[in-house]
Amino acid sequence: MKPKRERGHLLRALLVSSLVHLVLLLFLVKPLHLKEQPYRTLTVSLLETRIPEPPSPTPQPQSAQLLEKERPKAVEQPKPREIPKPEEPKRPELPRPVQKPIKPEPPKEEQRQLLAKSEPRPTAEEVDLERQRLEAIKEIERRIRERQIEAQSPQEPKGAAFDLYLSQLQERIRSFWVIPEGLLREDVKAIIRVRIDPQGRLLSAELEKSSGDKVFDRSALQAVKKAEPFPPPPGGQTMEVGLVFRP
Amino acid sequence: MCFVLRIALALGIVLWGIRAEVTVYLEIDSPKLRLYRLAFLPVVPGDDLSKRAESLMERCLEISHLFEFMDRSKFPLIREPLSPERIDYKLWREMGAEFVLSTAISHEGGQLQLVLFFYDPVQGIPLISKVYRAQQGFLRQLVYKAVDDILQTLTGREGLFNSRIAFIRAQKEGFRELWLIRPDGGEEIPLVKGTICMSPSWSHDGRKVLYTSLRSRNPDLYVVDIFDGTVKLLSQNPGPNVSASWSPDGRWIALAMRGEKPGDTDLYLMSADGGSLKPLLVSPHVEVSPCWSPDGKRIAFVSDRTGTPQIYIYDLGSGKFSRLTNFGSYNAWPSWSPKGDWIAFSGRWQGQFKLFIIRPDGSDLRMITPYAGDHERPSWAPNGRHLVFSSNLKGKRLLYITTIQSGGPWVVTLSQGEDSQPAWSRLYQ
Repeated sequence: MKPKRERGHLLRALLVSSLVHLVLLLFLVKPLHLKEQPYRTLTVSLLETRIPEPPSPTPQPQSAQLLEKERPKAVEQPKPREIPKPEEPKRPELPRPVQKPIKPEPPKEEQRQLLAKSEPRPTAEEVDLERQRLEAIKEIERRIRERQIEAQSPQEPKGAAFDLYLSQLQERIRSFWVIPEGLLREDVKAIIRVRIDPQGRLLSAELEKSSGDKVFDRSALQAVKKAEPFPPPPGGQTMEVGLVFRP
Repeated sequence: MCFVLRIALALGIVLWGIRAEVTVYLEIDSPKLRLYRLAFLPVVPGDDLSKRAESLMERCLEISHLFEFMDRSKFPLIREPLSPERIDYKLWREMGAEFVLSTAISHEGGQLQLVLFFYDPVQGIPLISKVYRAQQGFLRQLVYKAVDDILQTLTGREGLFNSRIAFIRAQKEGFRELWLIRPDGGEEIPLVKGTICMSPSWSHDGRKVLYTSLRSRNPDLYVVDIFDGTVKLLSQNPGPNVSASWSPDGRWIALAMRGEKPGDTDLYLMSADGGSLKPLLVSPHVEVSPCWSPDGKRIAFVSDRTGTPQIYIYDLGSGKFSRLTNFGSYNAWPSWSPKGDWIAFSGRWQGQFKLFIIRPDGSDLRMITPYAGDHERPSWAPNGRHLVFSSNLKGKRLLYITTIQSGGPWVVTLSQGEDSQPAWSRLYQ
């Protein structure tokens, strides 16, 4: 009786154990990947698309001709002189209100400040200075953040060489990060986990956390790929780093 | 049993430990804000058709304001389109390309055929591999479709070129005609000729244009179907029937009509067929230029109730309105962006009209055309990033396109007359 029950337990335990292993292994070997769009050739036929006017070089399309035919005679040739000026609400014609005009409100402080920003473009020097100033602020903020991260993960390797390496890595990747201004969203963050071999070659770059914005994710992945080869990690080790991209 | 369980547990912890041995997190910030470097590789040598397609595609890509073209003289000659089997990603990566576009256009069996490959050579992945076909003579449409696909793939947002711009062209004879044009300046088409038209406005399906015309001497409101050219009179109340704007659901038209006093205009809502009319905002002041928010719940408009024309927002739910612009002596022609996140308008700044954008809550005011000339009547492109406006930037009043990042400006029209009052349609499906 007893050995039989034990054997039952043993089987169940083995089953549970192998399941746990399977899950853990899957977790390990299946990192998050950006799904690449598989190559396929599509045929798009524009023949069925409703395209209204045949592209004739003469600017006399069917629609306009139709219109000419439909127009009643009386309106066919209105002479400009006889026609009263269009009562289009344009600037000088805006009539003043009869009652005493209320003094226009002074600009709100916020809008005035914003307006000041929109004044004619600053000189290149001013832009440079402003940029340097902003970068200095960002640098300080970045260091504070790094310290906080450092404090949170005490088990990570330490040392001046390691710190120097990280700052080199950071600078290198940053210098390759490009995004057109019109496509940059301010409120996003993407994390890419990279593994760098002792020679500085990129072993893998996986999107650990997507920003939810395709453009942003792609720009971050491109920055990592463009930054290869990296400086060799200190101590001849393979290095694994999580890169937090945030505009 | 316990032994096995313990081993399993221990192994799990070890594996978890390996997994959790995370690493340092490094912050990367301040991306370079510049255009993507594009290697554009039309097949050489190109015949006339190829050259036309190439220059059209280049113009559209330039207006899209996402790419700078790399110097082609350093590239190897491409005699066949670079299919995914043939492209050498490393070569293009090393040349500094961030995207590669390879195209070839030909006549195939009485049809035009455009083969297009678009790659990300940095990551080494194909993004688009397509063949586009169209009838002879539809080269532009073919290129518009292809460029819009590139923009859609790259940005995840709507394209730009399968749309039209309606505008008013002043002719020498004194007529002010309603015309249509494509955003790249192609396919100029007169729609309503031989009269005086003003303030065009699109239906949301891009099929009809509302406009005011003096064909019966009074500024009446008409609607024209751009596909069959039929015109219908919608409103002929004595006095102005102007600055009409279609609601997003297509059921209502907001417009300005004569108020109680001479010269005064009030806002009205009219059913889309012109059948019924109800007052929206009646006051002793001038109220004009109503413009719907994309959700149809609010209307931006211009009023001179404080002595100068300023922009206000009317909430249809509560019937209340509030002032949006609090600077300058003249702010007019509001246009609500397709996503609802911006309102563009013209404001007088140091004696000239410039384009501004502002959030609907009144924050984040920005001037986007900080250069010489009067810039008037902005109208949003379907992608919410580009705007068309009229300007005397180079003397004559013409249409220009810019972006909210002050890209361009790119001139759209190059006519003998003067062009103004542009209105950008939504995309055609």
